[in-house]
Amino acid sequence: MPADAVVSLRSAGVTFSSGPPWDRESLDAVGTVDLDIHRGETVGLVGESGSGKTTLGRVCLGMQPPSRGAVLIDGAPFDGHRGRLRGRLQIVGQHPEWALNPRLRVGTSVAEPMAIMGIGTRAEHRKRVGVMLEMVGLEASLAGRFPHQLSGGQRQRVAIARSLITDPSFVVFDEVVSALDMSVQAQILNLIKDIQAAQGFAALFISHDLAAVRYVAHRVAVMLDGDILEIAPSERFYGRPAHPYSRQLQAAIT
Amino acid sequence: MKSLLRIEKIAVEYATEGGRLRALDGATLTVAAGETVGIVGESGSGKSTLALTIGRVLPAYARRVAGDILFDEQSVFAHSDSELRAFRRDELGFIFQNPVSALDPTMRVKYQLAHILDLKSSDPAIMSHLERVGLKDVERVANRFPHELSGGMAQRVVIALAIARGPRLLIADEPTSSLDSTIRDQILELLFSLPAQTGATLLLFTHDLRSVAKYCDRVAVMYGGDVIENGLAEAVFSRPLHPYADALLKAAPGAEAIGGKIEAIPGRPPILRERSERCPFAPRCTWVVDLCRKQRPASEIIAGRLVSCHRAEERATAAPAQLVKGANNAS
Amino acid sequence: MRIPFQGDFLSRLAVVLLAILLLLGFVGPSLPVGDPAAIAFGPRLSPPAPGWLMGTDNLGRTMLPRVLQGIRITFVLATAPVLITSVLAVVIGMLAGYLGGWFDELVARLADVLFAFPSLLLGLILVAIMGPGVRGITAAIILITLPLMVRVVRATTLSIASRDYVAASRVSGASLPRLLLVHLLPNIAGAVVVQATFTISVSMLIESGLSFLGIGVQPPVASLGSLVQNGSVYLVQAPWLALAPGFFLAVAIFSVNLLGDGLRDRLDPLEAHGLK
Repeated sequence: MPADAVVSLRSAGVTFSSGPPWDRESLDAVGTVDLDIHRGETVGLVGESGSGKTTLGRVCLGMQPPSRGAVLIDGAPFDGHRGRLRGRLQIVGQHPEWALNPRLRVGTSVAEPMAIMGIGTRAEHRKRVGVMLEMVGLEASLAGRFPHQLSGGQRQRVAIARSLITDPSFVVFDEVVSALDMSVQAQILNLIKDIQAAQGFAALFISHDLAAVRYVAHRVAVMLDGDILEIAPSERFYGRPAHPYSRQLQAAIT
Repeated sequence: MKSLLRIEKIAVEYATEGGRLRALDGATLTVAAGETVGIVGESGSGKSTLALTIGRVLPAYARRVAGDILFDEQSVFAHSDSELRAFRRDELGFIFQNPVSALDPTMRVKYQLAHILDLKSSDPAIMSHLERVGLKDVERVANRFPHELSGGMAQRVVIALAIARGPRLLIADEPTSSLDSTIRDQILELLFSLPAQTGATLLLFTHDLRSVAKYCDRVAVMYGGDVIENGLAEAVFSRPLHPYADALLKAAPGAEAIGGKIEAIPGRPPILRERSERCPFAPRCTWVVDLCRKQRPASEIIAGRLVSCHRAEERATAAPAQLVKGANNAS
Repeated sequence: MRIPFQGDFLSRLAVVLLAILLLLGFVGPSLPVGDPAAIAFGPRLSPPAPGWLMGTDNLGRTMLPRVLQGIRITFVLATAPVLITSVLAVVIGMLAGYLGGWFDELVARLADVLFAFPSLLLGLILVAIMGPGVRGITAAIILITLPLMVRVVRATTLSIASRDYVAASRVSGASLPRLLLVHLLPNIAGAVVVQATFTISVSMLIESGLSFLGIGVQPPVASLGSLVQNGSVYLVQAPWLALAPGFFLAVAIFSVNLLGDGLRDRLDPLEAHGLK
């Protein structure tokens, strides 16, 4: 294993089961996946709905314990205890309307990871929130607003600011632009691309849209029915991807 | 070709809790019989409202405040209730975003087709309608309930229902955005095979520029409740004259070079409360001049298409390098 | 005075009716309307007259102060158990919804079992165990209303817990109390208030039902339900004895339900957003 892998999956898989004990139905959401995500790189994960990409993202964050195989975060096997990892991992999700707790002011939401880690005074929080909001292209004064006063694009920016406030080593972006308008999507894609390059955290960018994935990511992983079919540098996905299914995805965007 | 549909300066307002919303603000579009037209816009551009207004299926809190829509030279607003029903039933075919919710969940597919066609459910003609939309194993599909069909199959059934009575105008509103990307092309292939097959005219309302570029004869770009550029797809996509159309094309990932950058449009689409007296795109436009803020540009024929932009003429004759810079100093 | 629910006629009507009822119930008895306990205050079974505006009962007690007191007892006996139910349901439902697993299964099964009993039967059983009176009624109402309330809280919790800000907080390493108190509770509170309001009308029905059967509040305390029961014996000779408390009971339940409708339109996150 290269020394700089922030998250590593070792033959990790997830099986969901449902129904009463005498009539269990099980479903392999993730088959068997090996994946290293290194410091400073964005791995794109593309696949259709139901292909298991969101579940895989949750496994990488330790939110979903794998049914088999192992997850290594920051080089150590993840044992279910988040204490050591507080503020190290972050996620930005799909729905702008649910990105922020509607009862909290924007500033409180952005500062939450610091509060959880128990670092900084109130004044330090406020200062850092201002810096983060400006970094994602918003005015620092937005900290005093409530989420319902913000547009969808602004809320996603705030969610990104919150995710980066503790200098995390790994961030999952799960379909972060799919609910946004076309012209706003481009803003957020550029923001993620620029900030990742500047901050150097490892990232997993999940989307059903190959065009968005290959634009943001350094490497692209294609997922189908719970397995990664192909993983290659994104340049390959501008040319001729190896797997027939990847080519099918590519055909859909050209 | 004679025009089948003429949308003339149509304006529609919604009465909402937050006050009036002007969803359509004088949109104009003429569609010839047999054409395929892609109508592109972001949320708030008015494209969904336009789709609904053509069939007069707007919700009760919506009101047409100006303009007209002529189908076959007859105003759709002049129809009596029974004429309107006949018009919707015989002349229009609607295909919506979510196929499963567009079908009656309590009825097997064959009964839904039989109902629309006024046939017995055992009539063999029903099977031919299902075959026409590329469904295999039609007997099995005919006996299923909508929830037992995959998204792609359900959308094919919706299309079969939409074309069952041979309508002259098909209105597809985001027909593929709830489907997986590998199925999207199959459904679009099917949709765009229909005009040749049945002589129908097809309007595709979508936010997906790629599918319009690939399949449509003509494209109409909507912004702020108006059609701001409207022309042959090839011409508009190769050289968009309206700065918004241009910016939209550049903002979509997919066409950039490896390691290249897409150009985002700053700001966000407007929310109109009343008739706009200036260019609705002016606040976000890199080509903006004072005139844009004072006077709304009229739609003019420039370089073979209709454009509503004060600087379209200039953009049409500008050298490509100037377009890339796009700057205000051009004048 | 500014009445809440601008522009919503039915909800404002509910607020006004409830205000009147509460005034009658809590201020009314201290007005000079007579002593509710005084036997032979007037003649027996007299129709309404200047000295006893709602007539008198079979012991010659004046009905007006007795009905006013009944309104108060009915509101107190309906509201107090619902408060307890709400607190219990929030704790149980939130933990079940958020933690899932065996605890969730157990809660769901227990709720199913309680749900399977007709509510009045459940009330009868409890009163049989605890004995008639306030304690029995309170226990019965809590147990009858708890399952539905838990389900509502659990369902709302499931919906809120799937939101991106909860996931983000969890990934950041937030503790369970922080997740529950900062992110979940404030966002399910609306749904709880709405459901609690409806539950108050249900518990009014339960209390009156039990009191009507004679196993609810015991004399000398009287609720609207027990007054109706008293009066029902003389329904032919003195209909006012049952009709007056019956009327106020109907108005109380009606206005509480209307208020619930109004609150739901405003507060319930699922009704307002999720299910749209």
